[in-house]
Order: sequence, then C-alpha cells, then structure tokens
Amino acid sequence: MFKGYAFLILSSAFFVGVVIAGLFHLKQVGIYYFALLFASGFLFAGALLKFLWDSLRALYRDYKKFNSLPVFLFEFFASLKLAIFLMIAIGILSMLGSTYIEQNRPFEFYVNKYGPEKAGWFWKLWLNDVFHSWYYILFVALLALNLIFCSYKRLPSVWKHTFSKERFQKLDEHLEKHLKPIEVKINPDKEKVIRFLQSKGFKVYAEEEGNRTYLYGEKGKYSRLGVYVVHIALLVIMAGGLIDGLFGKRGTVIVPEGAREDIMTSLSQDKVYKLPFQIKVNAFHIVSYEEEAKRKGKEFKGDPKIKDAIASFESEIEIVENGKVVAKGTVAVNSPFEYGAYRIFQATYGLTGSAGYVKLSVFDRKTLPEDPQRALLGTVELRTGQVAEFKDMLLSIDRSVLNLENPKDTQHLKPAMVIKVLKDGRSYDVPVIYSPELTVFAFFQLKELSDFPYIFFLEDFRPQFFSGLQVSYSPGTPLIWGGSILLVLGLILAFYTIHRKVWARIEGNSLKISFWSHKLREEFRRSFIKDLEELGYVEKNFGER
Amino acid sequence: MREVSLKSGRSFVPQGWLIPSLGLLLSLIFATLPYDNVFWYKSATLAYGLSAISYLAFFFLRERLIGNVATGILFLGLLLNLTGMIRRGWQTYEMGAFHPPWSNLFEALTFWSFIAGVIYLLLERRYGVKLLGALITPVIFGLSLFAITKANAEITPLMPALRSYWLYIHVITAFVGYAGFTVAFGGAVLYLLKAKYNLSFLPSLEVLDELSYKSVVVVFPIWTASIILGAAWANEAWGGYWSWDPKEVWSLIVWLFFGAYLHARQMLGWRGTKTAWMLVFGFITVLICFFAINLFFPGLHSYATD
Repeated sequence: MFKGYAFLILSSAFFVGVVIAGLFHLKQVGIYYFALLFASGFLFAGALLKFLWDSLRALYRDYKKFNSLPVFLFEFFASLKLAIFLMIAIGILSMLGSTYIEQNRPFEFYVNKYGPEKAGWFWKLWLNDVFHSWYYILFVALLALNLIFCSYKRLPSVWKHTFSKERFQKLDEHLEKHLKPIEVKINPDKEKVIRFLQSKGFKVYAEEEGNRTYLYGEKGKYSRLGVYVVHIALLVIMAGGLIDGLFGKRGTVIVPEGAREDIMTSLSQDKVYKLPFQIKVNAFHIVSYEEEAKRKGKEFKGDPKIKDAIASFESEIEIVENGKVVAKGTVAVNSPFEYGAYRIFQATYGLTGSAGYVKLSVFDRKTLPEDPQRALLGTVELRTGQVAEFKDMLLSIDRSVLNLENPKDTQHLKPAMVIKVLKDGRSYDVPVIYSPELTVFAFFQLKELSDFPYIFFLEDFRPQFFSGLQVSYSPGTPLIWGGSILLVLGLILAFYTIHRKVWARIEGNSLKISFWSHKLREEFRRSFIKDLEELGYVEKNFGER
Repeated sequence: MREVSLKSGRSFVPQGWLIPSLGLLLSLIFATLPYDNVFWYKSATLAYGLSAISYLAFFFLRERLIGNVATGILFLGLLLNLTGMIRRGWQTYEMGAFHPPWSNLFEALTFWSFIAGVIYLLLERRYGVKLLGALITPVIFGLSLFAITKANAEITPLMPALRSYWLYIHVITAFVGYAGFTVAFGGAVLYLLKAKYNLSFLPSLEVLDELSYKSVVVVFPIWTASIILGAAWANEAWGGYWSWDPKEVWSLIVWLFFGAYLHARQMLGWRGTKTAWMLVFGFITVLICFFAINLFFPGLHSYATD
C-alpha cells in the first residue's frame, strides 16, 4: 500500500519544500528556481493525478459492484478509507494555516510582507484564514457526515455480537472449525475452570448437554460502545464550534483608566461591534510578587530581584447599561469576569501616554522663598478625568507627557503636565514638572500666572494605564464542554477497557477453549495461554480466532 | 446459556513498588543537599549518556550483565532527573515565585526525558523489550543534552498568564502524550528494522507491533484530555477555548494523525510495515508540535521558549 503512496508523499514533500523556499526563504528567485519548481510541480502533479485516477477507478469499481447509486453513496460515506483520508487531509490543511502564513491579519499586513501579487493570491485562496475557508469547513462537514454514516452502518452488527442473546455460542464441532480451540488436559473439574475464568475477570455462562459442558465468558463488552460515545461527542463538539462560528463574537476592548467603552474590535481588526453595555475601568493595577504576598497577609521572603516582577495584572471594572451600573467586579489574568453570556478577560495593558494619578503639594507663592515650612498649604490628589477641590480652587489634569526629555522613552518617567485651575471665575494653566527647579523655572516664565497665588510641586505620579480586555460571546461553549467530557469518557471506555470473549467445552478430562480479544490480541494470547497452564497440560498447537 | 458465578477470595498484593518508592525517597533526600538544580540535571544527563552507551553495547553484545547495568544506570538517571525537578521546584519556592518544574523550554525538555524514561522502564518490565532501550535512551539523552546546552536553565518568574493551576495538569498530560508517542516511534523503528533485516535478537514482530499500538492506545485519551484541558485554560486566560494558535493546531494535527492510525489498525486491519511507517510520520508531527512551533512560529505558546 505504501509503495503506492511513497511517490505521492515524497513528491508532494519536495514540491511543498520548493514552494516554501521560494515564498518565504529565498530573497531572489532565478531561472534555476523556476526550473526546480516546474520539475517538482510536474512530479507532484503526476503523482496526484495517478492517485486521483486510482481512487476514481476504485470508486467506479465499487459503483459497479453495488450497481445502485444510493447504496454506493451510502457505502462511500460510510467507508473508513474516506474517514482516514479526511483526517489526514484536515491535518494537512491545518498545517497550511499554522506555519508560515500568519492568520487573521488585515490585508495590508500581507501586502507589506509579501507584495501585492502574492497577497492577492493568499486572499483568493483563503490562506490568510484557512480555518474559516470554505474548503476547511467542507472537509470538517464531510468528516461529520462520515462519522454519522460509519456509526449507522456498524452499530447493528456490533450490537448483535455484543449485547444480543445470539452471542451465546456453544463451542461445538461446527464452531470449532472457525475458532480453532486449544486443548488442555485437566482434571474433570468444571468449577475450577469457571473459577479460573472468573479470576481473569470474565462473566461466565454455562450450559450442560449430556456429558458436555459448554462455557461462554465475556468481559468489557461496554468497551464496544466507547467508539460511538466518542463519535457522538465529536459531533457535539463540532455543533458547538458551528454555533460559535455562526453566532459567536470575540474581540478586544481597550479602556483607559477612568474611561468607559462599548466598541469591540474583532481580533483580525477588520470588524467592529457595539456591545450592548459599556465597560468602565475604575482602576488598573499591576500586581508584583511582593504585592501579591502582601495581599495574602504574608511578607515577601523570596529573592529581592524578583519582588517587583509582574505576578498578575487586573482591572476593577463596572458594567454600565443605559447609564446605570449593573455589575461590578475585578478582572485579572486567568480570572475572567462573566456578565450574562459575555465573558471579559484581562489580556494586555499599556500606557496611554498621559498622567493617571498625580499628587501635588500646594505652596503659597509669596511666603515660599522665606519659609517653605509655613508656605506648605497641603496636598491635593488628582485623577485623569476627575475634578478635585482645594481651598478656593477647582483642579484637573489638562494635558501631560510621561517623559519630557524623550517622549518615546516611557520606561523612565520624567513627567510634565499642565493643571487646569478654576479660581474666582478665572481659568489658569499651571505647569508642573518632575523636578522642582524646572517647575519654578517654567512657572515664573509665564506672564499669565503673575497674579496666581499658589505654586504646585509634584509629590507623586502614576501614569495612566489602559486595560486591554478581551470580550467573548460564545453560546456554543456548554456544548463544547459537554462534548469534551463525553469525548474523554468515551475514549477511556474504548481504549482502557477491552472486550474479550472465551468459548469452552469440557468433555471428560479435555477442555477445549478458544478466545478472542477486540484489541491487543497478541498480548492477551500470550498471557492467557501462559495462565491456562495452571489448569493443566496445554497442547502446543495454539489456535486463535 | 445461564450465568454462573462462584465466590472466590481474591487477594491484591502490589508488586514491584519497593524499588520505585526507594528511588523516590532517595531523590527527596538528595534534593535537600545544597546543590543547584542544574547540577542534578547535568548529572542526570551524564547518566542518560552512560545508559545509552550501555544499552547500545547490550544491543551489540547481548550480554545479560550489560543489560542489567544499562537498566540500573537509566534508573539512576531518572532518579537524578527527579532530584533536579524537586530541587528546582524548591528553589522557585524559595525565590518566592513557585512554579512546577515543567514551565519553560529547559524544564519541558528535561521533564519529557523523565516521563519517556519512566514509561520505557515500565514497558521493559512488562514486555522485556530491552533492545528498545537502544533506541529510546539516545533520544532521552539527546533531549536532556539539548536542554542543558541550548536552553536557558535560569529560573525566572513565570509570565502572569502561565500562573494558573491549569499549568500543572495540562502540561503533565501533554508530556505523557509526547513520551508515549516517542515510545511508539521507537517500537515502530525496531519493527521496520526487524522486518527489513530479520534481526533475530529483536522481539517478535507481533510484540513490537503491539507495543507501539499499546503505547498509542494508552496515550491517545491522555493527549485528547490535554488538548481539552488546554482549551479550558485558554477559555480562562485568553478569552476563547480555541484560537487556532499554532500549538493548538499542531496538537490537533497530531491527534488527527494518530486517530487515523488507530482507525487504520483497528478497522482496516492494517498491520506491520504500513502502520509502522504511519507511526514514524506521526512522530515527525509530534516533533514539529513540540519544537518547531515554540522555536520558529509566532503564537501564544512561544513564551515557553525562554
């Protein structure tokens, strides 16, 4: 069989290798490359045509055999060869979508990376989104159909041989021809044989006929249903996937601290959804290992090098519907927040580039040079988007930068900001810079502030974060989990238990016994024959069905 | 026919538990010694190398004593590997960022070696296929050596998304899967060698065929569970149970491939050379699933490369 396939496998590997090299590895392709491409393509096409031709001929032969289209179609869809072909084909298609070509990116991404011509081809062939392409879905649907037909075709006969009364076959001369039993010389002790079979886990059935005793033993019969459980489970999972594919939504919502948002961008950034609610992020925290230990009421005793390493990050969120807060909670990494059928996840975070929290100390301008101690009037805390009150002023952060000297370097904070102040019906723009000297310098440069009685210095500063949340709506999830549990149970039933049968006939001091195992026959044969020796002398012409 | 049932006293005596539990105890004692985990991993690699040499010597000389020595050294290597894992786990705990010792590439590779070694020793006990060791131990040695020389053995805190109890169970099941497929591959290669050159010293073709089949049968449900557990974790951390991330897709490819193998064997009655070749190709997908995806293709699993 592999002799027939070896050429196809090798030529396709060769062809795919050449194509991959040309598309992704070689900077320039010349005449030699095209010659190689042509040669490999020719070999591959030849092998593929031969394979298709052989397959079609085999199908035609089948058609002739059944001589009826419905029967032929049924047999075709119920055939195992189709199942294996589909499994391998889906595997190969999946390779397409998970190696070289990044999936689900905007069209411009491919144009930039591969040039407009190749990008166009990728688009036409759905190579940018293999897993939602019509051909992938077609193959999965065919596999589902195949699963149903296979199960439908095979279940009745399995049922008959495993659960119906017909399975109690007597090992008489007629059956002996099929089963080719082993003969064991024993003491004529029926009980001993039954005990032996029971100790091997068999359920034993007996019938006496004159001087003969027929025994039939079986175990693990439910194992045979495992495969049907598995197939049903796979159909359930596929149904869940289909429901999510049709009705599910998934995307990213970026919310700066203190703000609210209801626009969700799909992961491929080509679709925008409006959520039926707004997500408001009240605060965002990065939790360090030290902080995490502190929250558990413990002191961090580990390596000081990692005490500031990021252990987790989290957002305190509120769900706002029609202007009203309807739910409230915390979303952290690995700990999503659920609202109705929607789930909200903490995916990323980042800096918005402006101030989030500022603590200012307020000094009296006049007395500051003489007596800074007495000039300190107090401190005021400001948050982005909020207005704070201090004495006769209303303050808010107007605009800010995180690093005055190098705006791109946000690792090091050297913030500067303009504070909007409302005082006695007048509006002032007051500069505050990370170092007091610079603040003083800037402050006294500005003519507009000549009658402003206060001066602010930066006490504490925290940049504003945005919280990158993922929101998913997948109504098929219960089916997926139900199917998954069923799948594992079915696999355990199918693979960890084995259906085995024994037939035996006791006549005088001769025990004729034959046995059958649905799986792992060789292992069973060896151990069973070895075990039989405890009953008596085993004739060495082993037989097995 | 009528069911008959006779009562009989059955006794259950656990066998062969003594040596493994002594080994575990010894590992625990070793782990309290003030050596860095990497020291133990290096010793384990050395032992794996020696045991690979002994298994190869046994393969050619077929001396009983050498075979026993080989098994002994492999056991020692596993013990040292386990010591390294316990020590590393303890060191991460002391550092204040505990994680199980199977989280980054270094840890994953050494963990894979460990599991493959354990599964192989169990098979050796059960089937007496000592010559399979000549194939498996070099692979174990290679994995371990690759980890020691190429991967970063430094302990770093995990990235937040990995800090989840799913890490324990998802990764263990995945590695039992990898190890089982490795053993199946070893059996298949021996089968092909035996079929081609009729090497009389190898176990019979039927035994080799079934050995490979059995390890796939045992591991397939575990691999499935691993994919499902991964999906469950993804549903907690990434916002969806399936994102077509390369690792997810390749684990699905492995699953489909071995699924096809199981069908071909059980239902089409394919045996021997055909299914052995299937296992060899299947192992290539396993290797890609483990290495290539982490090392070359971008995706959510690539943080496991550090």
